[in-house]
Amino acid sequence: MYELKRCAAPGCDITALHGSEYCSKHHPDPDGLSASILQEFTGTDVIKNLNASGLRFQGADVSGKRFYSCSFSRAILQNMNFSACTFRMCFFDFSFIDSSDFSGIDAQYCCFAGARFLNVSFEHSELVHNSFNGARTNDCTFNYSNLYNSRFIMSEFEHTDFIDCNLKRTFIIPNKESEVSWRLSNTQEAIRELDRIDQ
Amino acid sequence: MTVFFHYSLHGFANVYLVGNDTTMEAAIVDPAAFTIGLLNFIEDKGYTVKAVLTTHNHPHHIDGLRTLLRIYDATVYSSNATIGDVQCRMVRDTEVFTVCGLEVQALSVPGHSADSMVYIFDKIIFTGDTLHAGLIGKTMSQYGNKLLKEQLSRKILSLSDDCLVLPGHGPPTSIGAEKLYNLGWRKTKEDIRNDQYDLFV
Repeated sequence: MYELKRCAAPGCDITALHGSEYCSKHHPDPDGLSASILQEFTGTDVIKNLNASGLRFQGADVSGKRFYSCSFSRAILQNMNFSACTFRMCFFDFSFIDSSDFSGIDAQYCCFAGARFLNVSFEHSELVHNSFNGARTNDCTFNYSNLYNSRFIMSEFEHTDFIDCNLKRTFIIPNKESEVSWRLSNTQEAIRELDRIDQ
Repeated sequence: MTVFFHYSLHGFANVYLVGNDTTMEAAIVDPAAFTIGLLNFIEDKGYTVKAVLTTHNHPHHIDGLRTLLRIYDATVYSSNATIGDVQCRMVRDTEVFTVCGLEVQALSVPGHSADSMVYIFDKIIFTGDTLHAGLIGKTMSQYGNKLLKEQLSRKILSLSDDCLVLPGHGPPTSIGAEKLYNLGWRKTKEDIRNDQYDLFV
């Protein structure tokens, strides 16, 4: 788990960023910190306990890296290549993800709740036990992915495809569906009504 | 502090290992099952399990307890005096205590079950079956449902938005996400009827 040390700014209760005394709001140079974090990524394949919440990352290729207990909550990720990455217990809640590649990832026990996805690919991924509750997707694809035990409660899908996905125990209770394809997916095994919940 | 997650196929429940990396002592939250895989994981990491925190005594959350206690000499924390024939160290609502050198606060959140406890380690909240990603715990009555919602909004949703919620089932979430995207806060037809009735009282 990333360090839960508080931001040094008086009265701020937000956790401090990786390698810093401050949160993204109070950090004097958040873009400089993002650059130095990306620089750190180049030397290693395993990234553990990283708190990058609220930072902006653009145009980097971090494909194939393994992320454990990292936070990208409220982060802005644009033109990023996360393909073939592994994520365990990582948080992307309320992040803004634009034109990024998450294809072939293996994400388990992660939180993407309230995230905004524009033109993002999750194709051919293992997306097991993740929360996409309240996520809004535009021009996204989850095709050929395993979504076992993941949740899409109060999500909004627009121009989003879920072709040939495993939906066993997947909660699909969206607020909005427009131009969505579930072709070849086992929708009958998904949980679309609260009556089927047994917990 | 390090938190590890283990998915138990027994009841599809989440088992958590909270480790203190200074003392190498660890606590297990909700031992749904204690498998050889979990044991090997704990031993490989070099932890000694000194405590077990149970959020409630439903089988899918405690069935691994007896096996665990045959291997480790751990104190069991619960809102019950005993779980089966296992003696527990009883915890009370709002009590703050130390487990494996880590400070924990216990909050009583009845509704799903009368003995439901939530454990807070700094900004990490183990909610058991009281609060899941997008849902609140299943209750057996409307009274239980109202009680659970009232307790959750008073004790849990009042915490800061960036607190991480690690539930007994399903994926992780955060307080900020649960405030906005939980079906449990949606009004039922019954609530709406009652609201209309209340207008005339």
